[in-house]
Amino acid sequence: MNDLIAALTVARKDFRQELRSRATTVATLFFSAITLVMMAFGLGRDPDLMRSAAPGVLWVALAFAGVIAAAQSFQADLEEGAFEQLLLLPASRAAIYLGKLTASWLYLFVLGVLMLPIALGLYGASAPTGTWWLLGLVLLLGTLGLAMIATFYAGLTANLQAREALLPVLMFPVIVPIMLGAVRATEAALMGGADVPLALSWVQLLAGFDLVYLVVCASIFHFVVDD
Amino acid sequence: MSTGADELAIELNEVTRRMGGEYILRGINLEVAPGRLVVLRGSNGTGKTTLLRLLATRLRPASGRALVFGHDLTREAAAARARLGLLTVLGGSFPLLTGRENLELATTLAPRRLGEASPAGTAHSNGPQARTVTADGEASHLAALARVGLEHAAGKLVRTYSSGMKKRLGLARLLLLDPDLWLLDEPYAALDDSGKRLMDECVAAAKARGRTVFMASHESDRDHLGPDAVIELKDGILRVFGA
Repeated sequence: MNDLIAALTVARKDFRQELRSRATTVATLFFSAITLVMMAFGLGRDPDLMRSAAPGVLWVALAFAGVIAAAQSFQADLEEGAFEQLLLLPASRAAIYLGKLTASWLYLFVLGVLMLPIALGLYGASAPTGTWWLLGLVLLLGTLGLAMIATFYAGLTANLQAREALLPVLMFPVIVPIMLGAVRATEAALMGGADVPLALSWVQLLAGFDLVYLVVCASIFHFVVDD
Repeated sequence: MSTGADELAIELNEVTRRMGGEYILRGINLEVAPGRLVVLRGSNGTGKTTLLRLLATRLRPASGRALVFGHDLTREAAAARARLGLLTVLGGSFPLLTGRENLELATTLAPRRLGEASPAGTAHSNGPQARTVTADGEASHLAALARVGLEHAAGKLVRTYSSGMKKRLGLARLLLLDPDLWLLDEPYAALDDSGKRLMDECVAAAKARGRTVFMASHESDRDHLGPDAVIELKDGILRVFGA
């Protein structure tokens, strides 16, 4: 069995399910937008404070959206024992993990692309000309990191009764390096000019964390889904 | 049931399993030769589903040795999975995919081993190698759906199916993959009379093709299938009624 085909098959299944239910789309879009708006109210009227808070608020909103998206992805699979049937097929656990990760990642990335201009607009920040590619790269790597950890822990908590409460409790301490790298890289990218090299160094760190998490999560996912 | 065959379809030796701190299976010993039909009976909550899920590699034994076609279910679970299929009570299909998409998913992730459901209706000889076929996938999916009476619902989402239709779809998947070991958990539940007859036909055909069928069922009126053995699970221990 080709693991790549298996991963793409699982990802396509998740996309199809989401296109039909739109449960994750509706929940995460509104949740992220509301988070951005509420935090804007909470921060007050200081324009400098608002501008400096924009990257952090954006990534907090995306982290919460990642929790919802991953939990929903497994919830849809658990109905009527379908996920168990998937696990009975001779596909590797790593391929199943990578398939679910691919769907969650692309979903979260698109959400990030939509939320970034909204966050900048709401918080009075702007991206210097020529740094959009860098912001795109940060979004790509940051959402990958969030999706990897969210998918892993959503699989771990999928069969637990208190999964809604446990998932963020387990996940958030682990995503600290990803959040740190993503927020700092976004800040530096928004400054532009002389801060671009600093942003790139944070991007490299982010890529390193992603690689480590990817290898670890894919390697031990069988402990998560098997008895 | 012990036959002395070189490779047993199922071999359990002092297998135990705990659920919630309580022993559900207490030292199960069982040998099933390939090509046999074994019916497992027992009251609700006696561990029939636990035993089937253990054989399907979804649960690990707490102790003892469990083999399927010589593959240890703990250490060689992937190899064992390649030779077995489980039909669960609920059918195990994704509600937000259509019936055809569910079958496509299964045949993409599993080796193409089309048995009774192949478009030409050809049965294949024993052994995984001999049963690898190159029949057109789309036609085989439709053939499988037609075989279980779901051709009209091929493009409908499974969430719109009735319980019986979901069970039929699970059967279609089993027919397509045609594993060496069929594990059936209450296969007649939710099926109407024609569905029960269909299940009988498919089980009989699978046995005729040399597949091993291990079925947990309350339906004592299906004994005309001529099981090779009827066993009962009570208080976590197996009792054999006929062999």
